[in-house]
Amino acid sequence: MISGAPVTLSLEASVLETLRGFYALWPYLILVAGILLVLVVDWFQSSAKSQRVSWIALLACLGSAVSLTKLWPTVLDRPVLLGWNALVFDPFSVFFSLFFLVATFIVITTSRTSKELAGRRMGEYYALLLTATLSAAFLAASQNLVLLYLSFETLSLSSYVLAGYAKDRREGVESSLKYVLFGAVASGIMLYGLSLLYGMVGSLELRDVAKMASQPSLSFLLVMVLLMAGFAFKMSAVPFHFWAPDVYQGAPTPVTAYLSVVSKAAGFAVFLRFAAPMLGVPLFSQAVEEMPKELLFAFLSLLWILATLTMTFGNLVALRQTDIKRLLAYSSIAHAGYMLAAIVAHNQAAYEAVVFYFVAYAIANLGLFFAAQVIHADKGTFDIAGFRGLVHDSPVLAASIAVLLWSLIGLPPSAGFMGKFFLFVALVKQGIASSIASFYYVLVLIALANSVISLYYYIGIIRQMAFYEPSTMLPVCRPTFTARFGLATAAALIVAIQLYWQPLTDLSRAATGSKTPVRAVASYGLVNSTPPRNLAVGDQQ
Amino acid sequence: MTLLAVIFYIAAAVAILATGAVLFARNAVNAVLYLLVSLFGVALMMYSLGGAFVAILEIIVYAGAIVVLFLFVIMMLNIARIEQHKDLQPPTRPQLLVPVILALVLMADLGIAIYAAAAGVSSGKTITVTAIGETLYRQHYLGVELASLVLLIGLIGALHLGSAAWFTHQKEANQDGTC
Repeated sequence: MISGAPVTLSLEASVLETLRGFYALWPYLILVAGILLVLVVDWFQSSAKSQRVSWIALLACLGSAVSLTKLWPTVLDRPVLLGWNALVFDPFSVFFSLFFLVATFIVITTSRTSKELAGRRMGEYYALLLTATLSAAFLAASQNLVLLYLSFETLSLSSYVLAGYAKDRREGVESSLKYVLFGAVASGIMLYGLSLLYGMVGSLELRDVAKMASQPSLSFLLVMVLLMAGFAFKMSAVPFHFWAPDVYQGAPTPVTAYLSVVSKAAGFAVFLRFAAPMLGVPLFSQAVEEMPKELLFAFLSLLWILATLTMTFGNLVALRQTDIKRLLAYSSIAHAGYMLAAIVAHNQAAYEAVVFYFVAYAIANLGLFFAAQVIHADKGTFDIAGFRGLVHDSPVLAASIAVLLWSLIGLPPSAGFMGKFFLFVALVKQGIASSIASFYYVLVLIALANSVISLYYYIGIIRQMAFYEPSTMLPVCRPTFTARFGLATAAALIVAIQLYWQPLTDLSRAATGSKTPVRAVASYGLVNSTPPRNLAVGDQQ
Repeated sequence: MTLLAVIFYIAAAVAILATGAVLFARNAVNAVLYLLVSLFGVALMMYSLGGAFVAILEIIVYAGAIVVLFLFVIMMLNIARIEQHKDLQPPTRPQLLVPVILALVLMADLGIAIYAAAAGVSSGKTITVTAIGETLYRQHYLGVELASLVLLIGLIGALHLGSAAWFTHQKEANQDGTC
């Protein structure tokens, strides 16, 4: 036995404690059941009918989402800690889980009609998609470095295979390989940072890590830099963005949409949770630790530079793209930059703004990748030339795409505008309160300038659609009713959020916990609130 | 510096050098053999820190199972091209020098370890199988479950990427399918 550890529970009691906490795990267990069922049922399908299993995947997502909404009031009341503080289910993680599930649901529906995936065995595809979603949800909920890394790696591994799922396509395989190489390096660097962190803190728990932040040390900053490599890889932020354009272009379009929304959001969610106590944002159960001023400023400067580089680089390179998927890849890099900029503000408003922004961004990106897929299905190209004169082919499609692009620029009336507005408000708020106001104001100006740059390439597509005659070389695009309906819904949502944003701001406020003070934390799977000490070298027999 | 620290640093040096040699090895079989040396070095490091069980696991699982499997795969893949490989000619003497030195140093290190064990030098903090089991299956049971999921998707991914029948089927579908 490990001495000093409060493992005084009998086996029976320990099992009971664990089981009692399982009600918070239900949504995730449904997903696991979905993964296994998809695999097994797929064995009994012929290749031609393999697409059928998508129904199981959809049902699993739906079931999981429903049970999560049932969990929502509970966690809003008091967060649930599970598995000796390994996972925390608070509104933040439950919100992100729901977000991932909805996005996955949409990606599955678009996968069903994708021509790039047609005629393939789909069992593995949906199993991997659900696994990725599960690990993304765990990533947003992990409170423990081991679980953080494990879910990070699960998400990465399933994304690698998904990116190269069409393995007979050269660019698909190439993109997958690039993704693996970059991912391996990034997660290697991150793992190094994690092991250093464990060496310094002597505990795997995030709240102990946060305590460490209150003591000024340069090595802690080094750890943060190393960890940023992993987070930036998932967010596709400069300088770990190199994989994004190639993978976005080479992967099947539904997978690209998935990577640009779920994978990126998971990266942001884990970073937001990890950095919250150090940035002074009380994200539910976490205690806020005062980081020494110099260390905090150094960390913020790092984020500042990262944000500036990311958005500027993304926007400038996007100007020269002719492939819609590459263009959206660079645009999504730029959007990661905007969100990183908001995190620099390190206040509650910034956290809310990022959550809000992500919803707006997800609607626009899922919609645009779906539009690219629809156009590719008819015209056989992802080139922007395929958008030429689209308004003659299908006015509804063209109008919806225009609204979604408008939202990505961040012009009113669109959800993207509200998102950017809240981001800038968070920064300005912090600037007013801070003694180094220009630090924040300059960032706002850079972000504004970047929005203007992005105007050029987004409007370029709208111009192609509206003011040019369709190319006679390419076939006419005839989207199905479902496709037009789906895209029109996305566009309507974008406008609706601008007109009535209150529910979404309420939701983002609830998700980041500024409204609900935490009264108590329900902990299951542990006796005292302190877990057994980790297996360290110093433990005596 | 205690005897165990000496063992640790020697093993660490060997592990780092061998891992570097993996990167610079001229052919895959040599690289795998260097990897084997590196893993033995890591095992000794674990041992010197008191993790005897982890050290054994390192050898049984990594060196014994994974690397040998790896070796088999390389041998199977390269079997047709073996004649063309100039690298696979018997190594010259200077080429042999590095692995021999590494192995000798590692053996000497192992000798020190055995001597230390015989002399009763121990770190006094041996981590037992029970302790590892307790930690894994109580504190980190969620991690263990998630690791099983990692293995599952590893399996699915390998199955997907490796299935040849599917590949030919797809080629036909592609020829008349996409434009």
